[in-house]
Amino acid sequence: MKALLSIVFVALSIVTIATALLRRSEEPDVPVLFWITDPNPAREKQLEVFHQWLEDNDYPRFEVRVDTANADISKLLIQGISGVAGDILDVTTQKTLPYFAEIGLLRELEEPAQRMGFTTAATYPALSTALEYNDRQYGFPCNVNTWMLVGNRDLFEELDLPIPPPAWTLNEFEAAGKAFVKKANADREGPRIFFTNPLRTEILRRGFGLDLYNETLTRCIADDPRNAEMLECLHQWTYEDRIMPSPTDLASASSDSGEGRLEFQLFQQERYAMLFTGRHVVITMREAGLDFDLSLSASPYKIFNHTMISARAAAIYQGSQHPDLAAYFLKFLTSPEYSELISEDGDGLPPSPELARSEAFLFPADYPNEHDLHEGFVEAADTIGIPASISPFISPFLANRIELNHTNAFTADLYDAKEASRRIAQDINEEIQRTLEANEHMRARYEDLLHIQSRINEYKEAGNQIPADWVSNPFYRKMYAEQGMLLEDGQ
Amino acid sequence: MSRFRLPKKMRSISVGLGFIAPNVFGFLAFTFVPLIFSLAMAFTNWDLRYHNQFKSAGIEFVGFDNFIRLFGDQQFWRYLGNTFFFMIGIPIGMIGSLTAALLLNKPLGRQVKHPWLVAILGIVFFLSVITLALSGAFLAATSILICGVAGLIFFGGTLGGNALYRTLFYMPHFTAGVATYILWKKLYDPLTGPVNAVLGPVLNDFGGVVRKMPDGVGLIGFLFWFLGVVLLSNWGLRILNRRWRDAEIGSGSMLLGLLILFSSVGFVSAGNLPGPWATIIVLGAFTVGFLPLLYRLWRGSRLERCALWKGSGFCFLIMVGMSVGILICAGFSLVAYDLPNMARNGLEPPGWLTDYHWAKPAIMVMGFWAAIGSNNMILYLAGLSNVPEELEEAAKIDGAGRWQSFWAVTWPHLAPVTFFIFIMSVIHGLQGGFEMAKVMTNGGPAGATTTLSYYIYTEGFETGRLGYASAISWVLFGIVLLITLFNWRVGNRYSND
Repeated sequence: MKALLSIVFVALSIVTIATALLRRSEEPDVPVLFWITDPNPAREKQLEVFHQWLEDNDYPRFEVRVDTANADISKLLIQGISGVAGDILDVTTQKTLPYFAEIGLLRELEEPAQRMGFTTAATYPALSTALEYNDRQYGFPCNVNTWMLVGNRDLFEELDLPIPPPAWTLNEFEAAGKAFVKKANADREGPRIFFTNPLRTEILRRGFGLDLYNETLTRCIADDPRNAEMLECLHQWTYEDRIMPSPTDLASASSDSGEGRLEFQLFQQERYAMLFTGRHVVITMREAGLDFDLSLSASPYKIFNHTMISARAAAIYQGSQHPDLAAYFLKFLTSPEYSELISEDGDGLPPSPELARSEAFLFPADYPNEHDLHEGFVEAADTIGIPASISPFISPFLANRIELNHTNAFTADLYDAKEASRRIAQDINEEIQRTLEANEHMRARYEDLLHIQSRINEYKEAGNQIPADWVSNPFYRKMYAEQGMLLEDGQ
Repeated sequence: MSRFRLPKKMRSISVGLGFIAPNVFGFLAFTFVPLIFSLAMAFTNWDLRYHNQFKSAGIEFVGFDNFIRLFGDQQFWRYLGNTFFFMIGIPIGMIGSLTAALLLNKPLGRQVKHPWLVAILGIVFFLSVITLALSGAFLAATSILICGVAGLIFFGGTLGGNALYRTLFYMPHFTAGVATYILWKKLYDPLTGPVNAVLGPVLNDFGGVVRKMPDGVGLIGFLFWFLGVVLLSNWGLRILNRRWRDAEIGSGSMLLGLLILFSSVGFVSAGNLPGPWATIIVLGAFTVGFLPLLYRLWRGSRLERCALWKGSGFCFLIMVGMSVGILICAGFSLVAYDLPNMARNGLEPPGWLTDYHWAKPAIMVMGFWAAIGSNNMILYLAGLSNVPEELEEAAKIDGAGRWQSFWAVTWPHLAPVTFFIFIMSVIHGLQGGFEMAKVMTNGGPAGATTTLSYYIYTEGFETGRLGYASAISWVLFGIVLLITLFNWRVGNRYSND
């Protein structure tokens, strides 16, 4: 037995050494960087062009490899704080960019961005605050999204109904939705046809002139009656007017078709007349050969017409061994070569606004049915796009979970919309206090912001214009500016 | 040249140590050290957002702060409640495992009385399904598939006998969890899943029948089930009364049982009953049932004195069981009362995983399925093989029927296995639910399916509060330990008896 074990031990040792030697011989003679991103086949093509771009411009030679196995948030978090995450991280401006920046996982980009030309000025102005945290830049967009309602123009024409307008109020949207579902489902057997997939609460709430947080992002204000009004509105559309699917309808469709492209499949099958989505849906449309004519509308609003602008951005990991090389990848994102790739495969808007305004991008010759689409997305990014508001005093994931739980409880009739809104505000504000209790170093900043908030409230009550630099919430900044309530710098 | 040689005993010890060394090192590196580390973490304010190698803030020991906060954390209690709710299914799963083991312990296959009849039935079943499919009857494709598989199983059973069935029953255990959860998600599909495909027409017809029934049927249904509440609560009181009289339980244990029983009755009477008369019935019946016990207490008439807490485990378990029964009867009585109203707009099957009220039971039912064909079944099979045949034969000669033979011979021999299975199921039940919540519901809707293990994950790896997540883990460990000690103390005695 001892001899057998010894033989196994020796054999394993030999195999280990041989594997290590073989691996060493396979290692390239240039530095290798890892890009943690989603499993999109387009990434390989993007890297191919990137390597060519490095060579064409005589930049330092190195290799970037895609790592799609570690893109999950919990893996990123654990690897990140352990010092072993990839060099370049894909982050979203709605959640992971501010969260990772707060944790310290992301490298501040002010200096390399200035030096290499990938500052926030190189992309859409509306996005600039979303790429920053505490006024410092931490990422540059790989692609940009504005959330809009993409409509099946052919279906509306077939039913002899008006094509959805570019912007509409809640009442107009509701009336159009009711008319549509009535006509589309008349004498119909089988699954119901809906006006649209579910709208997002954070976007609809802003349409009521309300954000989850106050102007200084120090307090959740979901207990404002407008939040309850928004929830009741969604409830009515889902369960009474049935213009949007309920979670049960969605669960059924999801187990029919698999989660990933579910909503698009339903749109393609004409079970949704409209799809609330970003421009990235174009990838799926083209793959599926979808050829019906498309329209584009903004989310309905009561007080303020807007949409959410967001980005999948690239950021440099704080623990990267090659931050200087990784910065070349971010520089590549500003290049026409990269923007052309994004333009071709339809993965959102290209980071460079100039290219997004080119004829080739707006009116792709091979896809005439999309001609009413791209301009609307670009225009929304320029005019009505506002990034998500993230409070530095609570994890965006936690805030999202709290809101979802109480919204679902309202949907399940556990309590009414008012109570759900009150609980959302109460729980989020409690978490903010908990953060402050555990992190005394944040309290001074918080107190300063509270002081500013009280002054904002006084100004609002007195009907005075509010100094722009007091307002850190991007939504209120934009809304107050449009309503003439903001005193811009230098005014 | 003289060579240094260890004494023989030392040599054999060092060889032994060499063999277990990899395991010991593995245990130390991957279990023991992290365990101790997590205990230390539970007393710190470690939050990934502010305490990591890229931040300057240091981790501080906060004493029992995390534990104190935890006891005031509503979410913790809620998710602990969810975890216990899922554990209600443990006894039912155990009964299922035992039933499966008893069935699979019977000789089948070639020893079946009429194997060819079963085989022919299987073939006919299967062929009819194919004919249906070919004729375009695809209305419930999944149902057809299930029927086809059932036909094959019938047919295969006649050839393969026990081995085939044992393998089939054990399948849930060696099928990857995620795969089975996705399968169940499809089964629970509200519109096209086979569960609702079967339930839909049944409920539709049943709704029609209920609508045609005269007024007052709901009330009769309510009273029928409500009678169950009254009978169970009085049965519980009778058990306490008799056992206390016979000095099988101490006064402390009796009061504990009484408290548990009254809690469930009180909960029912404070619930949404149709009127004050129902509350009067349930509380009145309880009071009437309590009078004999009160009289006995007043007179102090017992056969003999015994220790205050004698039989506390028995009282706890029996009265918890009674309480579950009372709550189930109360639930059915309320459903029966409201049925005519519900039927007015047509009865529809629920949206299982998306409905707040149904998500928990739906996941519990899935748990039964997994529990029936699990290691528990194998353990029961092993336990059954140890039941002496001569005892069963003796029982048969004495004229015992199957049921009597089971209770008098088989069941007592299975007591140690049952005890082991119960302890392990409780531990797994307390620790479980993470995979199901993550894959099937994401802990929703509205936290209905979030268990403590899922809460630990979200607190630790989504919110980043490692210190707090560790505290929850250690409280969970404490609960597991307490319950296991209780089980051990109570159950061990009964299994040995």
